[in-house]
Amino acid sequence: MRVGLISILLMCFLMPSAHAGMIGLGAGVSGGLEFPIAQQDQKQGSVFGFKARIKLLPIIVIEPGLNFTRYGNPEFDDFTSDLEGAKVTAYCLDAVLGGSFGGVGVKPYGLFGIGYYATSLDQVGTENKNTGWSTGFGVEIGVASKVGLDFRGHVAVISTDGGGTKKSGAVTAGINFYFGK
Amino acid sequence: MKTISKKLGVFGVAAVLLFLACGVISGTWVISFKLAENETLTWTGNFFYGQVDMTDASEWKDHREYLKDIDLVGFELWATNNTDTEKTYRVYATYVGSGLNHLTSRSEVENKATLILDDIPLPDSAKTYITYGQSFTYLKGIDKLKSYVESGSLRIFAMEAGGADNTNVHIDSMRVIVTFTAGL
Repeated sequence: MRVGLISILLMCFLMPSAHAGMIGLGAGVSGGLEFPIAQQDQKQGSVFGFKARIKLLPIIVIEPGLNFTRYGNPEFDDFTSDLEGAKVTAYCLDAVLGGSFGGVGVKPYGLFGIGYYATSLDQVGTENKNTGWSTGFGVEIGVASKVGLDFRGHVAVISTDGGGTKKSGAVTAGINFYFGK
Repeated sequence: MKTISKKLGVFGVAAVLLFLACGVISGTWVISFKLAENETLTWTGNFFYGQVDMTDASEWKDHREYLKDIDLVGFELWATNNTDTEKTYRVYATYVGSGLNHLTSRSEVENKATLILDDIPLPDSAKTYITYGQSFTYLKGIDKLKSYVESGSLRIFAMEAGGADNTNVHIDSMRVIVTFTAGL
Protein backbone atom coordinates (compact mmCIF):
# COMPACT_ATOMS: atom_id res chain seq x y z
CA MET A 1 0.00 0.00 0.00
CA ARG A 2 2.70 2.45 1.05
CA VAL A 3 5.03 1.37 -1.72
CA GLY A 4 2.18 1.92 -4.17
CA LEU A 5 1.45 5.36 -2.79
CA ILE A 6 5.09 6.35 -3.00
CA SER A 7 5.22 5.09 -6.59
CA ILE A 8 2.19 7.16 -7.57
CA LEU A 9 3.62 10.27 -5.90
CA LEU A 10 6.91 9.74 -7.66
CA MET A 11 5.19 9.32 -11.01
CA CYS A 12 3.23 12.55 -10.52
CA PHE A 13 6.38 14.30 -9.52
CA LEU A 14 8.43 12.99 -12.39
CA MET A 15 5.96 13.20 -15.27
CA PRO A 16 6.61 16.81 -16.27
CA SER A 17 10.36 16.34 -16.22
CA ALA A 18 10.12 13.07 -18.07
CA HIS A 19 8.28 14.77 -20.91
CA ALA A 20 10.91 17.44 -21.01
CA GLY A 21 13.65 14.81 -21.19
CA MET A 22 15.33 16.14 -18.06
CA ILE A 23 15.40 12.96 -15.98
CA GLY A 24 18.38 10.71 -15.54
CA LEU A 25 18.01 7.22 -14.17
CA GLY A 26 20.37 4.99 -12.28
CA ALA A 27 20.46 2.15 -9.83
CA GLY A 28 22.78 1.04 -7.09
CA VAL A 29 23.52 -1.63 -4.53
CA SER A 30 25.38 -1.18 -1.28
CA GLY A 31 26.38 -2.99 1.86
CA GLY A 32 28.09 -2.15 5.09
CA LEU A 33 27.90 -1.97 8.84
CA GLU A 34 25.05 -0.73 11.02
CA PHE A 35 25.76 0.63 14.49
CA PRO A 36 23.00 0.99 17.08
CA ILE A 37 23.18 4.32 18.89
CA ALA A 38 22.18 4.35 22.57
CA GLN A 39 20.49 0.95 22.22
CA GLN A 40 21.71 -1.55 24.80
CA ASP A 41 19.43 -4.18 23.32
CA GLN A 42 21.19 -4.28 19.95
CA LYS A 43 24.71 -4.82 18.76
CA GLN A 44 26.61 -3.86 15.64
CA GLY A 45 25.23 -5.57 12.58
CA SER A 46 25.16 -5.47 8.83
CA VAL A 47 23.08 -3.69 6.23
CA PHE A 48 22.43 -4.42 2.59
CA GLY A 49 20.30 -2.44 0.21
CA PHE A 50 19.50 -1.37 -3.28
CA LYS A 51 18.10 1.80 -4.70
CA ALA A 52 17.02 3.63 -7.80
CA ARG A 53 18.56 7.01 -8.54
CA ILE A 54 16.47 9.65 -10.27
CA LYS A 55 18.06 12.92 -11.24
CA LEU A 56 15.57 15.75 -11.07
CA LEU A 57 17.78 18.82 -11.11
CA PRO A 58 21.50 19.28 -11.74
CA ILE A 59 22.35 18.88 -8.05
CA ILE A 60 19.39 16.94 -6.66
CA VAL A 61 18.94 13.20 -6.98
CA ILE A 62 15.99 11.32 -5.51
CA GLU A 63 16.67 7.82 -4.24
CA PRO A 64 13.84 5.41 -3.46
CA GLY A 65 15.48 2.45 -1.80
CA LEU A 66 15.06 -0.72 0.17
CA ASN A 67 17.50 -1.65 2.95
CA PHE A 68 17.79 -4.73 5.11
CA THR A 69 19.54 -4.49 8.47
CA ARG A 70 20.37 -7.36 10.77
CA TYR A 71 21.72 -6.29 14.14
CA GLY A 72 24.14 -8.50 16.01
CA ASN A 73 23.01 -10.50 19.02
CA PRO A 74 23.12 -8.34 22.15
CA GLU A 75 25.44 -9.23 25.02
CA PHE A 76 25.08 -8.23 28.65
CA ASP A 77 27.41 -8.24 31.62
CA ASP A 78 24.99 -9.55 34.24
CA PHE A 79 23.19 -12.30 32.37
CA THR A 80 23.49 -14.55 29.36
CA SER A 81 21.27 -13.56 26.49
CA ASP A 82 20.34 -15.84 23.64
CA LEU A 83 18.08 -13.24 22.07
CA GLU A 84 18.92 -12.50 18.44
CA GLY A 85 19.38 -8.97 17.18
CA ALA A 86 16.50 -7.20 15.49
CA LYS A 87 15.90 -7.22 11.77
CA VAL A 88 14.92 -3.94 10.15
CA THR A 89 13.46 -3.58 6.69
CA ALA A 90 13.57 0.06 5.61
CA TYR A 91 11.64 1.59 2.72
CA CYS A 92 13.44 4.86 2.14
CA LEU A 93 13.08 7.95 0.01
CA ASP A 94 16.24 10.06 0.11
CA ALA A 95 17.10 13.40 -1.45
CA VAL A 96 20.76 13.63 -2.37
CA LEU A 97 22.25 17.09 -2.75
CA GLY A 98 25.45 17.28 -4.72
CA GLY A 99 27.42 14.26 -5.83
CA SER A 100 27.61 13.06 -9.37
CA PHE A 101 25.34 11.31 -11.77
CA GLY A 102 27.75 9.50 -13.96
CA GLY A 103 31.05 10.79 -15.22
CA VAL A 104 34.53 10.38 -13.87
CA GLY A 105 35.63 12.22 -10.74
CA VAL A 106 35.20 12.55 -6.99
CA LYS A 107 32.10 14.32 -5.78
CA PRO A 108 30.84 14.71 -2.20
CA TYR A 109 27.18 14.95 -1.33
CA GLY A 110 24.77 15.33 1.54
CA LEU A 111 21.49 13.50 1.94
CA PHE A 112 18.26 13.68 3.81
CA GLY A 113 15.51 11.11 3.70
CA ILE A 114 12.34 9.78 5.15
CA GLY A 115 11.49 6.15 5.62
CA TYR A 116 9.10 3.49 6.75
CA TYR A 117 10.75 0.93 9.00
CA ALA A 118 9.58 -2.55 9.94
CA THR A 119 11.54 -3.83 12.95
CA SER A 120 11.07 -7.47 13.89
CA LEU A 121 12.24 -9.76 16.66
CA ASP A 122 11.51 -13.30 15.50
CA GLN A 123 11.96 -14.98 18.90
CA VAL A 124 9.64 -12.52 20.57
CA GLY A 125 7.18 -12.63 17.69
CA THR A 126 6.87 -8.87 17.32
CA GLU A 127 7.06 -6.56 14.34
CA ASN A 128 6.87 -2.80 14.89
CA LYS A 129 6.21 -0.54 11.94
CA ASN A 130 7.18 3.10 12.29
CA THR A 131 8.26 6.11 10.28
CA GLY A 132 11.59 7.82 10.58
CA TRP A 133 14.13 10.01 8.89
CA SER A 134 17.79 9.90 8.08
CA THR A 135 20.60 12.25 7.21
CA GLY A 136 24.20 11.83 6.23
CA PHE A 137 26.88 12.48 3.71
CA GLY A 138 29.00 10.58 1.28
CA VAL A 139 31.22 10.70 -1.71
CA GLU A 140 30.77 9.16 -5.12
CA ILE A 141 33.82 8.31 -7.16
CA GLY A 142 33.02 8.04 -10.82
CA VAL A 143 35.25 5.36 -12.30
CA ALA A 144 33.58 5.41 -15.73
CA SER A 145 30.98 7.52 -17.43
CA LYS A 146 28.17 5.29 -16.19
CA VAL A 147 29.64 3.67 -13.11
CA GLY A 148 30.38 5.21 -9.73
CA LEU A 149 31.65 3.87 -6.43
CA ASP A 150 29.55 5.18 -3.59
CA PHE A 151 30.75 5.57 0.02
CA ARG A 152 28.39 7.01 2.57
CA GLY A 153 27.66 7.41 6.24
CA HIS A 154 24.27 8.20 7.61
CA VAL A 155 22.24 8.31 10.79
CA ALA A 156 18.65 7.03 10.92
CA VAL A 157 16.13 8.03 13.57
CA ILE A 158 13.08 5.77 13.84
CA SER A 159 10.11 6.81 15.94
CA THR A 160 8.69 4.29 18.41
CA ASP A 161 5.15 3.69 19.60
CA GLY A 162 5.78 5.25 23.00
CA GLY A 163 7.13 8.52 21.60
CA GLY A 164 10.83 7.72 21.79
CA THR A 165 13.20 6.95 18.99
CA LYS A 166 15.63 4.25 17.95
CA LYS A 167 18.77 5.55 16.33
CA SER A 168 21.51 3.94 14.32
CA GLY A 169 24.45 4.92 12.20
CA ALA A 170 25.64 3.12 9.10
CA VAL A 171 28.67 3.18 6.88
CA THR A 172 28.24 1.60 3.49
CA ALA A 173 30.06 1.09 0.24
CA GLY A 174 28.29 0.47 -3.01
CA ILE A 175 28.26 0.79 -6.72
CA ASN A 176 25.95 2.87 -8.88
CA PHE A 177 25.08 2.38 -12.51
CA TYR A 178 23.56 5.00 -14.80
CA PHE A 179 21.36 4.44 -17.81
CA GLY A 180 20.61 6.33 -20.95
CA LYS A 181 22.82 8.71 -22.78
CA MET B 1 31.62 24.01 -6.24
CA LYS B 2 31.34 26.96 -3.85
CA THR B 3 27.58 27.00 -4.33
CA ILE B 4 27.36 23.30 -3.62
CA SER B 5 29.45 23.68 -0.46
CA LYS B 6 27.22 26.50 0.73
CA LYS B 7 24.12 24.42 0.11
CA LEU B 8 25.66 21.47 1.88
CA GLY B 9 26.37 23.75 4.85
CA VAL B 10 22.76 24.93 4.98
CA PHE B 11 21.68 21.33 4.60
CA GLY B 12 23.85 20.31 7.53
CA VAL B 13 22.57 23.07 9.82
CA ALA B 14 18.98 22.21 8.92
CA ALA B 15 19.65 18.54 9.65
CA VAL B 16 21.15 19.33 13.06
CA LEU B 17 18.20 21.58 13.96
CA LEU B 18 15.77 18.90 12.90
CA PHE B 19 17.74 16.33 14.88
CA LEU B 20 17.41 18.42 18.03
CA ALA B 21 13.79 19.32 17.40
CA CYS B 22 12.45 15.82 16.97
CA GLY B 23 13.04 14.48 20.47
CA VAL B 24 15.81 12.16 19.42
CA ILE B 25 17.60 12.45 22.73
CA SER B 26 16.54 9.04 23.90
CA GLY B 27 17.98 5.61 24.46
CA THR B 28 17.14 2.01 25.22
CA TRP B 29 18.35 0.30 28.38
CA VAL B 30 18.24 -3.27 29.64
CA ILE B 31 18.10 -4.03 33.36
CA SER B 32 17.78 -7.36 35.13
CA PHE B 33 16.86 -8.64 38.58
CA LYS B 34 17.60 -12.10 39.90
CA LEU B 35 15.32 -13.82 42.37
CA ALA B 36 17.09 -16.65 44.17
CA GLU B 37 15.37 -19.29 46.27
CA ASN B 38 15.76 -18.70 50.01
CA GLU B 39 16.81 -15.11 49.34
CA THR B 40 14.24 -13.25 47.31
CA LEU B 41 12.16 -16.20 46.08
CA THR B 42 10.41 -17.90 48.95
CA TRP B 43 8.05 -20.82 49.40
CA THR B 44 4.81 -19.70 50.99
CA GLY B 45 3.32 -23.14 51.44
CA ASN B 46 1.31 -22.88 48.23
CA PHE B 47 3.58 -21.21 45.71
CA PHE B 48 6.91 -19.50 45.28
CA TYR B 49 6.76 -15.78 45.84
CA GLY B 50 9.18 -13.02 45.00
CA GLN B 51 9.18 -9.27 44.54
CA VAL B 52 11.12 -7.16 42.07
CA ASP B 53 11.75 -3.58 43.03
CA MET B 54 13.11 -1.68 40.07
CA THR B 55 13.17 1.66 41.81
CA ASP B 56 16.65 1.04 43.23
CA ALA B 57 18.21 0.28 39.86
CA SER B 58 20.30 3.26 38.78
CA GLU B 59 19.27 3.05 35.11
CA TRP B 60 15.63 3.04 36.15
CA LYS B 61 16.05 5.88 38.66
CA ASP B 62 17.90 7.98 36.10
CA HIS B 63 15.36 7.52 33.33
CA ARG B 64 12.02 6.68 34.95
CA GLU B 65 10.86 10.29 34.65
CA TYR B 66 11.44 10.19 30.90
CA LEU B 67 10.09 6.70 30.26
CA LYS B 68 8.64 6.29 26.77
CA ASP B 69 8.01 2.61 26.46
CA ILE B 70 8.60 -0.79 28.02
CA ASP B 71 10.00 -2.60 25.00
CA LEU B 72 10.37 -6.13 26.34
CA VAL B 73 9.97 -8.10 29.53
CA GLY B 74 11.61 -11.50 29.53
CA PHE B 75 12.79 -14.07 32.04
CA GLU B 76 15.36 -16.67 32.85
CA LEU B 77 14.17 -19.53 35.01
CA TRP B 78 15.98 -22.38 36.73
CA ALA B 79 13.92 -25.25 38.12
CA THR B 80 14.33 -28.79 39.38
CA ASN B 81 11.99 -31.74 39.05
CA ASN B 82 13.06 -34.71 41.14
CA THR B 83 9.93 -36.75 40.45
CA ASP B 84 9.62 -39.42 37.78
CA THR B 85 6.89 -37.57 35.89
CA GLU B 86 7.01 -34.38 33.83
CA LYS B 87 5.54 -31.33 35.56
CA THR B 88 4.53 -27.92 34.35
CA TYR B 89 4.92 -24.59 36.07
CA ARG B 90 3.04 -21.34 35.72
CA VAL B 91 4.10 -17.88 36.77
CA TYR B 92 1.70 -15.09 37.70
CA ALA B 93 2.31 -11.42 38.49
CA THR B 94 0.81 -8.36 40.09
CA TYR B 95 2.41 -5.09 41.18
CA VAL B 96 2.84 -3.46 44.56
CA GLY B 97 0.16 -0.81 44.10
CA SER B 98 -2.39 -3.32 42.88
CA GLY B 99 -3.98 -3.92 46.28
CA LEU B 100 -3.24 -7.63 45.77
CA ASN B 101 -0.41 -7.76 48.22
CA HIS B 102 -1.65 -10.55 50.39
CA LEU B 103 -2.60 -13.34 48.04
CA THR B 104 -2.28 -16.50 50.05
CA SER B 105 -4.11 -19.28 48.24
CA ARG B 106 -3.47 -20.77 44.86
CA SER B 107 -6.99 -19.93 43.72
CA GLU B 108 -6.54 -16.29 44.72
CA VAL B 109 -3.40 -16.09 42.62
CA GLU B 110 -5.02 -17.86 39.68
CA ASN B 111 -8.09 -15.63 39.78
CA LYS B 112 -6.62 -12.25 40.70
CA ALA B 113 -3.06 -12.14 39.41
CA THR B 114 -2.06 -12.14 35.74
CA LEU B 115 -0.69 -15.29 34.14
CA ILE B 116 2.63 -14.27 32.56
CA LEU B 117 4.42 -17.57 31.87
CA ASP B 118 2.21 -20.49 30.93
CA ASP B 119 2.92 -24.20 31.00
CA ILE B 120 6.68 -24.22 31.38
CA PRO B 121 7.67 -27.87 31.01
CA LEU B 122 9.86 -29.42 33.71
CA PRO B 123 11.06 -32.82 32.46
CA ASP B 124 11.17 -35.60 35.02
CA SER B 125 14.30 -36.20 37.09
CA ALA B 126 16.08 -33.19 35.66
CA LYS B 127 17.08 -29.62 36.14
CA THR B 128 15.56 -27.19 33.65
CA TYR B 129 16.91 -23.88 32.43
CA ILE B 130 14.61 -21.63 30.44
CA THR B 131 16.71 -19.08 28.58
CA TYR B 132 15.80 -15.45 28.06
CA GLY B 133 15.01 -16.12 24.40
CA GLN B 134 12.97 -19.23 25.20
CA SER B 135 10.91 -17.38 27.81
CA PHE B 136 9.07 -15.47 25.08
CA THR B 137 7.61 -18.79 23.93
CA TYR B 138 5.71 -19.05 27.22
CA LEU B 139 4.94 -15.37 27.73
CA LYS B 140 1.31 -14.33 28.25
CA GLY B 141 -0.49 -11.17 29.34
CA ILE B 142 2.29 -9.02 27.97
CA ASP B 143 0.35 -5.73 27.99
CA LYS B 144 -0.56 -6.09 31.66
CA LEU B 145 2.93 -7.24 32.48
CA LYS B 146 4.38 -4.13 30.84
CA SER B 147 2.02 -1.91 32.79
CA TYR B 148 3.09 -3.61 36.03
CA VAL B 149 6.74 -3.08 35.16
CA GLU B 150 6.02 0.55 34.34
CA SER B 151 4.86 0.96 37.95
CA GLY B 152 8.39 0.04 39.06
CA SER B 153 7.63 -3.18 40.90
CA LEU B 154 6.52 -6.74 40.28
CA ARG B 155 5.13 -9.38 42.57
CA ILE B 156 5.89 -12.84 41.19
CA PHE B 157 3.96 -16.02 42.01
CA ALA B 158 5.22 -19.33 40.61
CA MET B 159 3.32 -22.56 41.07
CA GLU B 160 3.22 -26.10 39.79
CA ALA B 161 0.18 -26.75 37.65
CA GLY B 162 -2.04 -29.09 39.63
CA GLY B 163 0.26 -29.51 42.58
CA ALA B 164 1.98 -27.77 45.46
CA ASP B 165 5.08 -29.84 46.10
CA ASN B 166 8.16 -27.76 46.75
CA THR B 167 10.26 -30.65 47.99
CA ASN B 168 10.63 -32.49 44.72
CA VAL B 169 9.58 -29.82 42.27
CA HIS B 170 10.87 -26.34 42.81
CA ILE B 171 11.98 -23.12 41.23
CA ASP B 172 15.67 -22.57 41.98
CA SER B 173 15.75 -19.00 40.76
CA MET B 174 14.33 -16.57 38.25
CA ARG B 175 15.63 -13.49 36.53
CA VAL B 176 13.43 -10.69 35.26
CA ILE B 177 14.89 -8.77 32.31
CA VAL B 178 13.37 -5.43 31.33
CA THR B 179 14.15 -3.46 28.19
CA PHE B 180 12.86 0.09 28.16
CA THR B 181 13.15 3.26 26.10
CA ALA B 182 13.36 6.68 27.71
CA GLY B 183 14.16 10.14 26.47
CA LEU B 184 13.22 13.76 26.20
